[in-house]
Amino acid sequence: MKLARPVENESGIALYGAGMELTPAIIERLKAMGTEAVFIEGAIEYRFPKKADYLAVVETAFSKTGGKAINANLRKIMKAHVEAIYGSR
Amino acid sequence: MKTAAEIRDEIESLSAIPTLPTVLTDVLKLIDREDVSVNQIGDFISEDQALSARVLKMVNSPIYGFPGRISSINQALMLIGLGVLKGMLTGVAIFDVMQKTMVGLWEHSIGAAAAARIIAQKAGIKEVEEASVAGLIHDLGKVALGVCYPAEFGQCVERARAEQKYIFDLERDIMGVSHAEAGSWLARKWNFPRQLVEAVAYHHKPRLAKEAKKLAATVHLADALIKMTGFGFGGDPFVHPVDEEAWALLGLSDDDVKDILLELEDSISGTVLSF
Repeated sequence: MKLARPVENESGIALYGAGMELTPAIIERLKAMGTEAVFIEGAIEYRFPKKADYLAVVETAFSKTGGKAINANLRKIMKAHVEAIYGSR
Repeated sequence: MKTAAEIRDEIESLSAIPTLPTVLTDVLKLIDREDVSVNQIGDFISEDQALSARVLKMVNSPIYGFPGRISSINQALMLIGLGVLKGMLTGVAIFDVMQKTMVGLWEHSIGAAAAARIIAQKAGIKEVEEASVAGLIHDLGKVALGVCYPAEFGQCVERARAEQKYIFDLERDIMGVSHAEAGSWLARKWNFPRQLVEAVAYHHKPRLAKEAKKLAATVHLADALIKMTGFGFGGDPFVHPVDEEAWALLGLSDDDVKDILLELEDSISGTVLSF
C-alpha cells in the first residue's frame, strides 16, 4: 500500500512523498501526528489532463445542450472549477 | 429489425451475463431465497476469496463512502443491506464484461457511482449506498445490448463516434430500444429492488419515475457530472440536457455543485485510507 499523494504538515512541507510505502510504523507515526486520512494508490488510475485538454473536454461535453439554463450554469461552474484546480496546482 | 417485445424477451432470458462467475449466480439466487439468513449469505460470499476481495475493495473505496472501515463481508451486509449488495455484486462482477463491451464503460460507471453518492449526501438522501449502486449499474443495459446484439450495438458505438451523436438516440434508431429500457428489464428480471430498477429505467428521463424520482434524478445528474469531467466513456462524450424537474427536486445550489465536483475528483483520483 503506497501513498497516492504527499502528506504535508500545517506549513505545507511534504513529510512523506507520493509513492512512499505505508508500513505499520509509518501509519503509527501518521496517527500520532493526528492525521485522519491519507490518499493511497487504488484500483482507479486517473491522471489529470492538462488544463487545455480538460477545458476542451468540458466544451465537447456541453456542445449538444443548446441554451438550456441549467446546463449553461453547470458549464460555467465546471469551467470555473477547472480554472480553480489548475490555479491551485 | 426485431420488435421491442422480442428484444425484451431475449434480454430477460439472460439468466446471467455470460462471463459472470458461477459463484455470483449462486449468490444472487441465494439472496432471493427467504429461508436463508443474511449471515449465511455473508458466509457463502466469504468462502470465495476473489469475490469477497473485490467486494471489500469496492466497499472500502471512496465510491461507497466507507473508506477503509469495512473488514468483512458480514459487516458490509449489515451496513448496506441485501438489495444494495445485490446491485454492488452485479456491478463488481460485470467489470470484465464491461471492459469488453466498451473501453471506459467501467470507469464511467464507477465515476457515476461516486458522483451519485456525493450528490445524494448533498441532497439529503438517506440511502447514499443505494445511490452509489444505482450509479454503478445505471448502464447495465449497455452490457445487455452488447452481449445480446453485439453487431447492432457495435454499430451504435461506431456511429456515435463518427456522427458525433448521443448513443442513446442511436440505440433507439438502430434497435428500437435504449440501454435504459434494456437495463431496467434485466434488473427487474433479476429481482433488483424496485428503486434501483426505476433509477436504471429513468436515468435519462427522471421525471417519468414513479417511486424513485429523487434516486433517478440523482443518477441523471451523476451521469452528467461524470461526463463533464471526461472520466471514463459511456458511448459518447456529450452531457444530456439536465431535466429541470430533477434539478429542482435535488435542490442543489451552485456552491453544492462546486463542492460535489471537488469531492468527486478526490474520489476518482485516489483511494482514501482513514485511520
